Amino acid sequence: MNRFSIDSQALGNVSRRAILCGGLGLGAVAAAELLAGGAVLSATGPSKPGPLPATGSTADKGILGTGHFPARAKRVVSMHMMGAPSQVDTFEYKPMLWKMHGQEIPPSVKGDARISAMSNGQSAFPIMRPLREFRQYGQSGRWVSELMPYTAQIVDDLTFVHSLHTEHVNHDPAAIFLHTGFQLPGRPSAGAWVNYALGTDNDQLPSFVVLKSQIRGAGVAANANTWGAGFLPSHHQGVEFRGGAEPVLFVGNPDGMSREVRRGQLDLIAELSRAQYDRTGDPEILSKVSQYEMAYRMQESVPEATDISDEPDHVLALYGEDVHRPGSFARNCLLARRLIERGVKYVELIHVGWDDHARIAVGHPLECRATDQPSAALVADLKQRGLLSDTLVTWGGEFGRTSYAQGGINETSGRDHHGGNFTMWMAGGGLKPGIAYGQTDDFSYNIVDAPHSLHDLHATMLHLLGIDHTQLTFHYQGRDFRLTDVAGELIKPILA
Amino acid sequence: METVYFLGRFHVLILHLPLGILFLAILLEVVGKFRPFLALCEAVPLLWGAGAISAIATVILGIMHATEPGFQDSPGVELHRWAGVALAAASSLVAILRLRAYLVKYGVRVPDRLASRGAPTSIALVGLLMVTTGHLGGNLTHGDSYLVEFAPGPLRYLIGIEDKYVRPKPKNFESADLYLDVVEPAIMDRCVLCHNDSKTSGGLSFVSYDKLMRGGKSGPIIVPGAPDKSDLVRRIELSDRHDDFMPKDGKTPLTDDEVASIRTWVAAGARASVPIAELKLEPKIEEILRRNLGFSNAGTAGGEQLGQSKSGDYDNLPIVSAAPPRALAALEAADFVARPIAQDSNLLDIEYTGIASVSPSQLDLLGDVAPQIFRLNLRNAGIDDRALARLGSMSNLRRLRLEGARVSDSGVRQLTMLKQLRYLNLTGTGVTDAGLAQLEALPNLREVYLWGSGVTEHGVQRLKHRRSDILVDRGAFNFIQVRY
Repeated sequence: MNRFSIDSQALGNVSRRAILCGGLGLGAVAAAELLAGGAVLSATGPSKPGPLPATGSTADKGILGTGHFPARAKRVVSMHMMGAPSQVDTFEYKPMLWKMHGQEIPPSVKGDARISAMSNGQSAFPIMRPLREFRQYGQSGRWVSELMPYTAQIVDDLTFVHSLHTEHVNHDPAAIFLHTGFQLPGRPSAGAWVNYALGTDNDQLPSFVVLKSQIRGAGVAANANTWGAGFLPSHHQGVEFRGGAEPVLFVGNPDGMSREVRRGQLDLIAELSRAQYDRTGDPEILSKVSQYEMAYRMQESVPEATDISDEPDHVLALYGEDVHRPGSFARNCLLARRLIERGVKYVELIHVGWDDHARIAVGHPLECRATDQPSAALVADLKQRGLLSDTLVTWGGEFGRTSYAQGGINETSGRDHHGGNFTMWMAGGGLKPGIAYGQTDDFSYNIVDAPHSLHDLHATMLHLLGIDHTQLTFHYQGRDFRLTDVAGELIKPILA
Repeated sequence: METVYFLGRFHVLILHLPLGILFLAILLEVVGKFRPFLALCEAVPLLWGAGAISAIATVILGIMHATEPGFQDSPGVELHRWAGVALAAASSLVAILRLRAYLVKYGVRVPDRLASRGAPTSIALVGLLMVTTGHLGGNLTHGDSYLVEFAPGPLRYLIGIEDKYVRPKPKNFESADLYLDVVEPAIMDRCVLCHNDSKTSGGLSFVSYDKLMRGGKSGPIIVPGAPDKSDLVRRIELSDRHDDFMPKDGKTPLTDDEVASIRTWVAAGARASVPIAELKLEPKIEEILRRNLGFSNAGTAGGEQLGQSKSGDYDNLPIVSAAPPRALAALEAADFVARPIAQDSNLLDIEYTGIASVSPSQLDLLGDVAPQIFRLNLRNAGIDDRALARLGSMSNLRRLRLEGARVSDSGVRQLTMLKQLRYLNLTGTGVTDAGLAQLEALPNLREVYLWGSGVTEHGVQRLKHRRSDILVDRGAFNFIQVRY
């Protein structure tokens, strides 16, 4: 097909004068648009004009088709605790914080790194002890707070990393950095990269799904850039399933329209789009058509995937009471498991809350209660179905929280943001279970051993999917981009 | 400082000039005494002049070169330096003596007697110093046994060096020694070039075990039993872009296997002799050492897997021919998604994405690529016992998902033909304890999942008892309820 076919009618409206004298501004842009068929302005990259997706199983296998080496994990569930949980109140045991409760954090520990503006005006930085006691669990003897009693029961399947760090101390830049490798919006999220690289295993369902939940009055909002496609073709973005009773609105046909009629309608749209594509070469047309086709397939696949009435009671009980409430994190975890079973490659669960600058003694127990049992249940449920063996699960926030109190030590105490070190847990294919990696100092304020940036996390995640992170690139704005930007070393000690 | 280092590097280049020119000068001095070559005497003064100048330049550059950190502590450098200076001085003297005819113009008069008597002595001195300086310099770069390393027996005897002791290769894996057969050769090969008695970068010499353990300027580089605290291990495990990475300067790095072996050796106590038979090795390390020593188990099913090693799924990947493209296309058109497991492999990962049960003709399509199938997902594909029989020809199948299959114990017997199977998912099937017991026959099986099947705890325990290396998960996980 001829990408450079020019619409002679349109060209007739542009005189030589316009092109030559229009200067190097709009005139040149217009000429480029017409002569190169619009391709110049759309994202360059290895976009081959392929056949428009048909209804058969022509599953898109991504630009790589398969990994550079055999994948240990074929699917990812990323549980993003937006707002940032406090590591010392959940998974990082620091006895010193009880000993020094109420005392000023030693200057040698605090150093002179910049403190976020939310607490740097404080005259004192008293250490605040963790909200609950810690106990040891499992064969690995992992210390876990009483705030996370269900996660504690599966610690032998989890890999903790305590030495992650980030430079960004506010939610949006940090969350965008956690997902895209850069703090400003505009780059593709990890899920979009995976989608771009490996495509889908089941073309009946979207290959990257986002499920959001939040605590009432969360104060922070999930940022759409964390599941966006950035400069990749837009069909790689995460598909948000809604929190209510209907995860995908209007997925059914309206009254009077049968599936056959719908099919005919989509066929006509495909024909018209093909004509438009032939004229302009805009790859976004292909994206749009592929999404229409995906929606058509979702009409059958989504109701089946999201209907939990066939779940036995004991499985529902695993996720806790909240699973009966659509839109809750528990319900979303159950949906995530169902989607994973059906071959969805990347599920992002976002739970917003956690941002307890004040009244952390009230806030954190609520957020833990909402997320602890369901996240543990998801891991256990995947494991008993034999799926944990080749699924990668991650859990964590965009940064940590300070071990000193924000707002003094009283009923309204909170903890401020802390990027110097934070904790994530991971589970699944290719990881060493039952270990904790990385060390921070006694105040959970500085990393003492094995610091790792989020680029390292991304490199490791891609490695588990069989992808060499330096080889998955996209050419845009004159250079090659990748998820790990120009950094990223594998966190080898946690790999099996 | 860096400019000095930069210029100093050219010492190694420029030194060839005086060597060549002075040699030629001496040659012409000797040869020029004979009638056929009398005319060549004309060239001699020029050669001496050029030789002296180039020798002086070499010395200057050499002094610059010696400021590099690696040379500070080497004993050989001092001797080489003074020999070189002496060479430059001697060759300058000879040059003055030979060029005296031209020097008269500048008012320098050299007495004839001095010239005729002094010249032969000085020339001989130059020759001697050339050999000395050159040999010492060569030792600095290549080590002092370089020239004679491969000298034949009789010659060795004459020179007086001991026979090069070549440790015989171990006869089998169990009789090998971790230090003597694996670590020491690797270090000798890659590290001794810069860390020997003549050239001691960082004050380190690795020519013997004692010197290796003694360490250098910053103290010992090996902490027995603690590889993470050992600088040697740290540096060889760094990314090669890192400043501290060893070996430096683009020298060939140790292989990943060698790095892992050194780490294992340090962790095991870093002793001068570590018989492998005495070590308890993880399967992965054992595999690496076997490879290193040439006793690899490639191809044998199972081998000596000690305990669970889930990453063993991807070890010893078989090489297969490519699946016929038409068969792959047919699979794609029939509700399967087929991909290679990696870019350079012909092994396939196949998922069934159809909504209806898989038909016999679809199973036929799988049969067309049976030898290539590595991973197969037939979840909810309506597989029954008869269909299972068709899977028997998948000789390389390692991971099989059969969730929801309508299989019974007799169908499971068909699975025992899959000798390479490592992962088997039978959740939601009708398998009972009797069927489960048959899985014992699968030598490579590591994980089997049985949630929602007819298997009881009794059957699970029985299989675990007979095959302690298999993870048998009956599911039915329940939390201990927590009251808030």
